[in-house]
Amino acid sequence: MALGHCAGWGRACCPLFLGVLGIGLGLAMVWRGAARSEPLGEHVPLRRLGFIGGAFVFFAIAIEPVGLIATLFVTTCIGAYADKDARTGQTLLLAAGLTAGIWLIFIYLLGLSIPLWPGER
Amino acid sequence: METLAALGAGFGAVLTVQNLFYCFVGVTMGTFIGALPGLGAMLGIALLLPVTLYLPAEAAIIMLAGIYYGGEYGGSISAILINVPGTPSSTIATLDGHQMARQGRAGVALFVSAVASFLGGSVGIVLLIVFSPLIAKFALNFGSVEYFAVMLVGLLGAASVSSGSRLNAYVSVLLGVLFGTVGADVSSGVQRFTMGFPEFISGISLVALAMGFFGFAEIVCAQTKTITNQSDSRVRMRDMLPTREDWQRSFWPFWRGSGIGALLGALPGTGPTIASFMAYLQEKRVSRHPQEFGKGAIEGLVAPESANNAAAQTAFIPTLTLGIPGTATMALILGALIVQGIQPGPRMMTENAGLFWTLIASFWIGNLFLLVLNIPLVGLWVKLVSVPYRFLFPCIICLICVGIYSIDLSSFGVWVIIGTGLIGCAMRAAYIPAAPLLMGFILGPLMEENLKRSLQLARGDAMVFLTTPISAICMVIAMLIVVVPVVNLFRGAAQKTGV
Repeated sequence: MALGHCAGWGRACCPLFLGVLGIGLGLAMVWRGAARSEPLGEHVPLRRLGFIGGAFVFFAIAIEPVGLIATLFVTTCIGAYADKDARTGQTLLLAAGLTAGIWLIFIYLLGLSIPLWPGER
Repeated sequence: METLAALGAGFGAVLTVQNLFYCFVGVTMGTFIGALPGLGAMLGIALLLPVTLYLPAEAAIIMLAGIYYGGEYGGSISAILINVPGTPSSTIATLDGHQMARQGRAGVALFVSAVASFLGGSVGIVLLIVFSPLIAKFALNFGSVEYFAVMLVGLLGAASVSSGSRLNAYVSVLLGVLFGTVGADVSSGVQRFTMGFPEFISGISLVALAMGFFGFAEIVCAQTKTITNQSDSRVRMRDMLPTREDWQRSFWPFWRGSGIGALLGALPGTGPTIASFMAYLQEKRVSRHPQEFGKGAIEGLVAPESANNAAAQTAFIPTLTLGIPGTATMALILGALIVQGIQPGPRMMTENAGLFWTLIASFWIGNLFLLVLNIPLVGLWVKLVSVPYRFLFPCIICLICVGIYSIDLSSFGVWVIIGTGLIGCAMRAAYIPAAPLLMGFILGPLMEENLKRSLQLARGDAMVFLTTPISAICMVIAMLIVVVPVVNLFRGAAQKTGV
């Protein structure tokens, strides 16, 4: 009954149709890729992907056990090294400033109850 | 008369300290993020979406819209000064705008660009005021059959005019629609593709999806170029005034540019970017001295600048009156309205008339702010845009993380951003644009509902889409959008092989 009939579409009908369409478009892409010899794709800067991805992952893991202040500080430091010109002194200063700024906007002004320090949750 | 009274009330409502403040924040942030090469209004809107959840609907939408049209102003600053467009729609401003700067007329170029943007935006707003009530009245009779058909045209149109391969854009739309199917099915309540995560029952969060594709992927892959040569960026007020000849030469290009922009902005798919390109080509064709184009002709700056701002305003016509966005940025603003509990569409004009007119009044106030921000304060933007990316990346990362975490106080959203962000990077690598995906994500579920309802009402007779006049026209247009390029492709291939 998941597919239903024409007057009463079931829940699976739309995804099934999209899947079939996807197979078609995928085959068209393969055919085009085989027919033409164009560059495979754009280069994704791996250094940036690593550091930016790392910063996000750190935030997701750390926010609950460690609290907002320390998490933001470290996240900033990881993210800054996505640019290879990053310098330690500047980065630490930025981390302090950014942590304070976000505390001001989200905690002080918007009044969110995000745990700030380790062990608050 | 009725319209004027409503508009007057709108101006009254927008002139509160709170609304003016959010309008100002929006346009300022829009200019800044628009001027930064590689980062566009989409990122700005995605960053502020979580904050807007705490604001009243009116203030939220005024601010988000401000980022959108503010970005159009900001984009031309970096296009003129460093020859790198801040937003895609200011690409064309690099041709003549940057040439003017190299001839020592950077100030004039910036001034003319800001004035053309302001006037073009104003033309767009006037058309928005005139046509929105008419279209909304017309669309009041739309049933689910018409809605499905119009959305189909909008979606296909948006995919087929995006830059690069059409096929890739269709793939992107399809992925978006598929992402849109995640969550509980509206009619049966059965979960689809939730993979056991209770967080997915209400669907993938729009905020997380937008932040993944236009935050994470955008900053990983952004083309980073900052102003390094400080002499390029010194702009003095007294160098900014155009000559009498400049004014005269700008007059008609401005009107033609605004006209093209306003028309293309309102059509599905063609947003400010295409409008600016078309306006430039048109101007070059009618010009009496086309050889000057590309060498600092003022017409080549005025026309696209007025076009993209007119388009940025008229893009709100289909979004607000039909509930059908023409571009991905509009889709995000539509999503923000829905999150606020307001369903844009013909009924918005009657049910939320106050909000509608306040929003329109805020556009004009915002454009006025932008004129002030862009002429006397242009030097400030130049300084701000030279902020190195090693400072910007961490700020954006932290704002995204805290923003998404603040919505439901769980790190699930951050993981969704990481996931969608990685998909976004992979799509970048394969030249698949992300903007059509967002369109598909927002329109997909609406289309499924309308399709289902149409077929239910027609007792399963699919011919209803061809027997209803408006829908039949849309179906023909949709067919043409898909079939014509394919036919041309085969014809081209046949000619190449000499058959």
